[in-house]
Amino acid sequence: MMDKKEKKFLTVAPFECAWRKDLKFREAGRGCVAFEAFAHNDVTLVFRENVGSQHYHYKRDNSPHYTVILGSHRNRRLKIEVDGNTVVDVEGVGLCSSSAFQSYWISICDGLISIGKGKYPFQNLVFQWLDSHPNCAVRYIGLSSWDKHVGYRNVSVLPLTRNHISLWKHVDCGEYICEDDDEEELEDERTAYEKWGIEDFLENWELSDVLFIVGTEERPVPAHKSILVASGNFPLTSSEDILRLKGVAYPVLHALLQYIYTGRTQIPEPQLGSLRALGLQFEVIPLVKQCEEAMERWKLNKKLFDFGKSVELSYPYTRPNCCTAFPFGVPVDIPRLKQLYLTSKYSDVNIYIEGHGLIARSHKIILSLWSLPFAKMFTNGMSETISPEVILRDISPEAFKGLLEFMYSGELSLEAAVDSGALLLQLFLLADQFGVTLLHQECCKKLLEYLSEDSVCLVLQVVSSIPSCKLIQETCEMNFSMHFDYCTTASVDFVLLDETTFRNIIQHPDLTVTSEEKVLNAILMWGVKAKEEYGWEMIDEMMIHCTPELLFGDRLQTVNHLLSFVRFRLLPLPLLEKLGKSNIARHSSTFSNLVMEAINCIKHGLARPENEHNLRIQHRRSSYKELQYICDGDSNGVLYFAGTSYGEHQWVNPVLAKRITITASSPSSRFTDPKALVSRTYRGTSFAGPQIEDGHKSTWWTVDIGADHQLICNYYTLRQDGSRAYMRYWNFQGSLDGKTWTNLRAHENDQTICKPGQFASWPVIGQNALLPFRFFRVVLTGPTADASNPWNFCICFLELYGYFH
Amino acid sequence: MSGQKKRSFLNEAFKHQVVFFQECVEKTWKILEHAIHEIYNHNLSSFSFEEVYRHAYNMVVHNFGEKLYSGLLTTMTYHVKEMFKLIEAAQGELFLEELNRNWAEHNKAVQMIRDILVYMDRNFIPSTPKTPVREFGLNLWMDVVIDASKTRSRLLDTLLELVHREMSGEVINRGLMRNIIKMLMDLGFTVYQDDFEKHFLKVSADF
Repeated sequence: MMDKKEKKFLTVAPFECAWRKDLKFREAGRGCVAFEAFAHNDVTLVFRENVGSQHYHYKRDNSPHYTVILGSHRNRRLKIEVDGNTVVDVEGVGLCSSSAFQSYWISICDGLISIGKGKYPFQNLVFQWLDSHPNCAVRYIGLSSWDKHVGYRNVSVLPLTRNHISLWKHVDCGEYICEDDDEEELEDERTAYEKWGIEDFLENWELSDVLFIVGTEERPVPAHKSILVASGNFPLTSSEDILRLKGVAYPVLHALLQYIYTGRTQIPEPQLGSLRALGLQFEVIPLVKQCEEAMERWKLNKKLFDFGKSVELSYPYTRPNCCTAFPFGVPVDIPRLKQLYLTSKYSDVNIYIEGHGLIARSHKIILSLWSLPFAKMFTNGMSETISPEVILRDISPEAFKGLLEFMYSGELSLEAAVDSGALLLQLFLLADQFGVTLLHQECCKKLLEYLSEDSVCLVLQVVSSIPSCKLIQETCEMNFSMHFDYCTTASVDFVLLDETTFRNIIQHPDLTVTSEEKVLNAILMWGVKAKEEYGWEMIDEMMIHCTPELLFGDRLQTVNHLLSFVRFRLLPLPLLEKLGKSNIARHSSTFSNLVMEAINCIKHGLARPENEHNLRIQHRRSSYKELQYICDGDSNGVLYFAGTSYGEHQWVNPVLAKRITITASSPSSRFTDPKALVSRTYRGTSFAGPQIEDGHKSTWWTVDIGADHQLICNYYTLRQDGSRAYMRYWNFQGSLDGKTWTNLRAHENDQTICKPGQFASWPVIGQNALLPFRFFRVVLTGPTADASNPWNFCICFLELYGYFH
Repeated sequence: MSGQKKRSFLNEAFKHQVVFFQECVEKTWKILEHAIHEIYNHNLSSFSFEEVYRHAYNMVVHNFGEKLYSGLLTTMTYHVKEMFKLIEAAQGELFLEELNRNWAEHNKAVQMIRDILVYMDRNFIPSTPKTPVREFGLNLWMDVVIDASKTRSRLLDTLLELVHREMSGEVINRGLMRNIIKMLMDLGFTVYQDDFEKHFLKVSADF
């Protein structure tokens, strides 16, 4: 899969702009673009109604548009322009261009521009600005620049929906991906659930507990006390269920209720005044303000409303990422809502949990607007519909209280999230059980945030059976595979994982493990559902009296299947031979075949057969330790690491400690001293002399890192000794057997070294740099700068870096 | 340390639940089956939504979604077949009335079933290539009632006769007629076209 993903990117030349038909918001004025960009300065995005030309420039654009510039003023400031006028110009928000690809996202929602960093849209918000006169027509996105080239890649346009977790999937899937059409169909199937919310209760008789009687025609209009109380100040009492509004026309009350229940409404301009009056009467302050603003605008510019003659009012979202969700998209006063929860005023349902008694006096409407199952429970004619009591079972009271707190505040209380992972998990399950989508997502995010090697196993057990948790499940599986050693030894909980999950882990491309034996042990332990930690030897013992069928039961087939994912050929031969003689091999043909195959391969020198793509014989890439070059003569290299016996003790000379072997083309002498090369001290005279090989003079130094180790070398360092015999022509080579050599880097008249005692380092690049080797050597291919002794290789220090195993 | 404790405690709880559930899955299904029967018998008001919903949720979460779904199909099919017997037995004008009454009841029942099995409909079905409950309800009605050998022709004849009578000046039950036409529309536009519109247009033209 990685191969298919080409690293293409788009470069925008100075003062140009790239427009693509598919870089377009699905809904005008609302959408989000996620992208990666690199530049010296001025990563510039333009949002306008139509596409522009390549030579379009925002400075010359007369039509309405937004421009966002990351890193203007020599990459110091964030700038936002509306129709060419600067409206935001700030320093130090951390939104600048970067010389390597960096991920950003920008979302626009009715004039609210949010900018964030990172691959996950709506996560990691950095800056936000609200346009008081929103341009709701912007739709197309132009990728632009200032005076330097800007590179863009992985640009994707996402719609703004409540369900942004599902959006994560779209990111990273390549170039310029909008939305797949088939996906849209699937979405329609679900919209009925996803869009469930408070708006479904607008003028709905279900669960209503108060009636407005409006107009001279005395039309009854149902509403819900708790919603009204949270949105304004209505003259309600517990006993009084009717509010008479003789002087108010129905359309005005409708507009008020629509504004309260959905956050937006439309009203003909002449009625704006009456709506404001009604809003004022019931103290729906946001509505009053917006009516006044609309009237102001009307006065200033009558043309604005000329056609349609309806004024649209919409409650400004307090949060960009949950557009329509109660309580943020509607004019609900959250402290008042929380107060309702605490005081249980106007409550109409008592919630009990079996074994724990009364948990809360609550409001059916609040539970229902979050949760379709609760709405059905209260309305579909079964016993709870008429009863003022609900008895729940198999639910933790703490988690349910957390659910209620969320429903009355729209926020996950941090206490629940941080204090106890177990509670969070229960809350997550509860949100799933009752379809509270937003809480489900919040918990999802929190779970991912607090995911650790300790909790991953438990989370996996719980979520694997729940269909809606794919993201968490995949993340956990990856986390588990990357900490495989830890997760399979710290506790044996992993044996409780279901078959699919465990299989996914064993086959995970990122599986990181110190030894294949651990993989084998884990598979066997999982197979027997081990109650404590043990290795294959224990299973071997059990098999003396027991057949695999009895031991593994219903997991036998899976165990046999998974065994083929153990890379037996990476195990040392003695261990393989032990395995071959074990009872496991005696009972299981699959096992013994795999072991025998590995033994044969090793014995007959087929450790590296031609088929490089055979995964089973390759080292797990990530099981290599990365030893990164930092600076000349640092202590991060392989040879230094060998000197500490790979992290066991203080450094000693690795040649003396017999961790590595160094040889030279000329015999050891006072000036050709293998241990001097890794002694980390300067030697004035240290060289390898030439020897005759196949009739040619050949001079080299060779390092053998040992039979049990391999290195994918990506950097190496040499140091000239005190002489002026600078090398100019030489090769750096790798080998598995010490006989056939592969060039890792060839130097042709390389003038890098020009002083006695000078350090120099070179990266190893190209195809061969990805191959692991055991032997490495530097070999002269031409005379040095010293005419008197042109074939002496004069170095007093050598170090290698890369992925070490 | 306390984190460790909590974790294992929770684990125990989950382990317990899983084992426990596997033992009583049959019992759980029986309860749900009974509830579905009672939906068709209009007897559901004594049931607790919480209980039925919880059982259905448990079945899906413990990997018995397959069993729940297939059980549901069997039970629904049984009831629609029962309804068909009633419809088939009705004579003359009663045929349309019986058809209409049962169609309305079936629809109501399907809606109820969707309500109590909303967790399955929402979480289990999309991950499989299965038909959602509502769609299955329509298909079932189509297969069992409308596609039965005699129903089509009988329905058509009765409808056309009604049309004829109306055209000749008689007063007919228009509400009933409208409901039946609406049923055909609900089952899909092609059904309406094939079963009624073509013939209707022909008869009207003849008239």
